[in-house]
Amino acid sequence: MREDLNSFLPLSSATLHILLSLAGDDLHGYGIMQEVLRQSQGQYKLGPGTLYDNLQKLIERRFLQELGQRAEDIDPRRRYYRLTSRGRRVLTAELARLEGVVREGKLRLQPVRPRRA
Amino acid sequence: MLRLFYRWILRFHPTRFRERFAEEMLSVFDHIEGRAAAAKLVADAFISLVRQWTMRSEYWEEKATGSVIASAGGLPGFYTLESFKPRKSALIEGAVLTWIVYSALFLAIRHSKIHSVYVPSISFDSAPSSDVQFPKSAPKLPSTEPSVRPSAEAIMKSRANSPEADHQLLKRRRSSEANSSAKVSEPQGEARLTASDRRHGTITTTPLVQSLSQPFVPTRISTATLFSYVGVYSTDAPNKFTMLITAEDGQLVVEIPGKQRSMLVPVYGTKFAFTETQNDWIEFMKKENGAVYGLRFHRNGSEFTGHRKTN
Repeated sequence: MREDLNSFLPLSSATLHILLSLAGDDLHGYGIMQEVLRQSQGQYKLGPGTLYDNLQKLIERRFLQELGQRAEDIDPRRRYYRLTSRGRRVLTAELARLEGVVREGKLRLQPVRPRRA
Repeated sequence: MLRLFYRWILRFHPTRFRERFAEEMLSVFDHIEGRAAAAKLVADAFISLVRQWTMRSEYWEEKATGSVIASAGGLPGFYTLESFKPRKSALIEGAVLTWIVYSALFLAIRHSKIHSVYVPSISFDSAPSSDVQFPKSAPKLPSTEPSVRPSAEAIMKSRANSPEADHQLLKRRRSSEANSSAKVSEPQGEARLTASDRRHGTITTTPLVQSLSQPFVPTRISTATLFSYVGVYSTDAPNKFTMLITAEDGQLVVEIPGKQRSMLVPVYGTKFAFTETQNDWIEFMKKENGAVYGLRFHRNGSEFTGHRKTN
């Protein structure tokens, strides 16, 4: 039985960007910040305070999984995070919701054609 | 310097957050280039500090891993006490709410009108056949002198509270008053007769009730005036009770039959105070022609109005 994740929607901008950044690959905190900056084309800059606050929340909700440190990393203090299947589902649901919003927005913003008499 | 400040801010984060993310946040700080960017991170850390303490109290403590704990012997043990701890914000809200409620309560008390409720204690002497019923609301007077107690008991025994009985009682009182005033050897109480007073038929009071709330003014009352107050007064329902005003040894005496009695000293005008207490008084009400028709009895914050039944 599928869990209803609609109660978590809509996601905040920070949550959406973090989940999106982890949708492709496992990343550490600084990597998430860089990826968010790249995704938003420099328009959304995530600070460490906001990032780790959201990471804490997302781990608590089991949307993310903490993988721990990697020995090969240049900074041993970094920990990596992975999107869980639950997190992927909620991200999918949010994107579907946003698609609907975009579709509705486009429909509304279409130029009104004058009726022929 | 900024790094030190940043680290210092991180140190003040809640323990759980700090242990989990402080090193990573410091790692991010170390990768940032430029003083302006570092300053932004310091500001971000400060906002995070406020956010964690005010809005993320649910993450302060590690939640209980489960309600079931392992115990010896392979049998599961259960926590019997609730591990729930209220959020800090809930405690703050509770404190503010308590303060508001208490402030409102104190304001209400401060601006409320005082309504004193008098609950008298009535002790009846044994009068098995008596059908005299004193009202429960009759105020309690100061302690009774044993020498005058029989008068009240006489009323009880003679089923007083009727005009005839009151007349008989007053007759006895007046005759004893006449005898005692003829002697006037040692002054009793604070009102006494001096030689000139006797000649002029007046009574001079000494400042017995100096502690009254209003300044005491020695009042000279003629014996004729004093006797004009003597009589039986009865209050209206629901606080119905009878008061006897008599004159003894040049002083007025108030008595509630079967209860207690007290001496009265003049304060000013038609106002008399109780000798034993400080703020209880009786004020006689007169008509335009000077005839006394009633009294106001003030005791323990309550006031009773009595109408004169007999002289």
